[in-house]
Amino acid sequence: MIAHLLKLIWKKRGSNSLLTLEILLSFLVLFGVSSFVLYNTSMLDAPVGFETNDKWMIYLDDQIKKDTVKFTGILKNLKRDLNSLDRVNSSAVGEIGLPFMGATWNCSEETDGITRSARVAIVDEDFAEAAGLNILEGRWFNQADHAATYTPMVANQYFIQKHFPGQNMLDSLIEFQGERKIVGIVDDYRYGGKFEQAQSTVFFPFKVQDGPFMPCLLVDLTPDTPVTYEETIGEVIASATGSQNYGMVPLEQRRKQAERRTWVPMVLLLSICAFLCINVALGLFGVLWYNINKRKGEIGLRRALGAHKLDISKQFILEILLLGAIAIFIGIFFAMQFPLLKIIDLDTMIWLKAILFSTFVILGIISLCAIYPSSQAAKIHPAIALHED
Amino acid sequence: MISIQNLSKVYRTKTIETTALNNINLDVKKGEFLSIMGPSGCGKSTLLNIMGLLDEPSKGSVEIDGQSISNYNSKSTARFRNQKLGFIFQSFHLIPDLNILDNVELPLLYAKVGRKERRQRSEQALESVGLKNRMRHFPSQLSGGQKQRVAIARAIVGKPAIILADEPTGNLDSAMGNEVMEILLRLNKVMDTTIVMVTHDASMAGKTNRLVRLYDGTQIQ
Repeated sequence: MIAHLLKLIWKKRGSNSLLTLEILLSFLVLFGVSSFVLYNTSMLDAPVGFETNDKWMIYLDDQIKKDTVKFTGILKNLKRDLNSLDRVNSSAVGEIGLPFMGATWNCSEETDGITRSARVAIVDEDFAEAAGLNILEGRWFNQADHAATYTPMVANQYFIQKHFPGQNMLDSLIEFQGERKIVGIVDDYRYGGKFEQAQSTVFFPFKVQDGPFMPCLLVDLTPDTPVTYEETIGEVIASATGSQNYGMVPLEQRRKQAERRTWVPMVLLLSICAFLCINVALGLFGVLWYNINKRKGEIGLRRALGAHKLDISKQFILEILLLGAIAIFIGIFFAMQFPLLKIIDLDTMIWLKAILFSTFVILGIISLCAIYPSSQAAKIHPAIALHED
Repeated sequence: MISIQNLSKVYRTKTIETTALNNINLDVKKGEFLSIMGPSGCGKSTLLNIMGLLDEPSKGSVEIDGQSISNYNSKSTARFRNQKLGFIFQSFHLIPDLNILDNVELPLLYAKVGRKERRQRSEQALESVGLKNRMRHFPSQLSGGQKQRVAIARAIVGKPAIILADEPTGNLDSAMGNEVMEILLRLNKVMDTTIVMVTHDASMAGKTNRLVRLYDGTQIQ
């Protein structure tokens, strides 16, 4: 029967090729969107490596950094004053690589022909506590490191696994922006939030004179601190810096903003895709309906020659499914180039899942669109169909 | 072979009731070539459709080959049509997208006959109507007479006991009509196939064993 249907399809290859093209394009669009969605959602379950609840980011006035010596004192006093507040658990200063800060610094170092790269976060000795980092091995920076002969650094697990797989790197000296000692290893740290891929990150200790950026403060508050507490913190900042010009944002709010930047295009793309699928479904439905009406005589003839009602509906469903299968086969050929040629460096499983998902959705749409017209075709009275033709 | 008792067929809509056949009694013997004549709309095709299990009677009984068809479900009806009956239509009803061989194979496809045997039997059927050399052609490449010969090959490929022909020469000129009629007569004689033919052409009807005339749904001869 399949060979018989393929002959019918081949004979109508002109009109069928347009239908196949429509199905193929829908498959490819669905594949693209589902890959994007699967890629993003695959990261949702992994921990980001820090906490966002009851944590506030404080942005200070640029002007107060002009005098570096004075600024060091200001920061020290500000931290002390903030920590003395009853609702403040801890506070930390960081210049780059703080959660949802936006600015990134990527470094790479070639040693013995091997290139090691990582994002750098410059933060002080209280950052691990204030951000709620999970220290897997070793420790965070401390005051003793300032007096030590080595320059300390903390690396995330991804950095160790990528550049030193299977090695115990704790307390090892490595060449990365100068000679540095790995004093601790933390869990993966995705400071861009849940939709950021895990990547190598290293933490360097903060020094006022080091960086070009204006440092920020991360404040860890006791649970359920009201928003009105901002006023109390503001008074402390104004008193310590002598400036009313500062900004304060709950980290949870920054997280939502950052995630929205991925959710919104994802929902938009899914909506467009759903609209496309509905259009394809309506198109297929119309084409099938038209074909069945055009082929009433054939239906009557087949019934006269011994086809049962089920044979008729099966024939029309199979015909459109075969067309769909041809389109999907071509689509899979193109889709498979992504993992095979590594056009975009994504996990192969994401590509395969996207192919499977797109295949099932397209076949589902085709089947749904074919069921009703095919069942109506089966109900056509053979004597009437033969007479009408 | 075919026994029809007190057969009536009434078409009903919400407002109109039309009697297509009224109390028809007819027996067709095995190997008989029967023709049915009558003016347009007298119920000839309806009677043929009921004999071909393509339509159901409103009243009365139909027995074919000793089996009452009133108790058949739709699956058994389809199987019965496939195994016992062959159809020939005035407008040939060939599928334009299939070549001649594939058109002839159709009944065997529904009889679930294997590919090789299907091909062999279809070639034989086409040979018997003199069209083996045209089996790769498509219907659009054939004349009307050739198309009707293909339809005959399709009707006989499953070796049915009965052939029901609805004005098989109606769309053909007299030469081609005679050619088709000769094939049907040969089938009836050589293969002892029972044939019921609806026709408007008295000369064609005259070549058959028996003539039944209908008028306004009633049998008058």
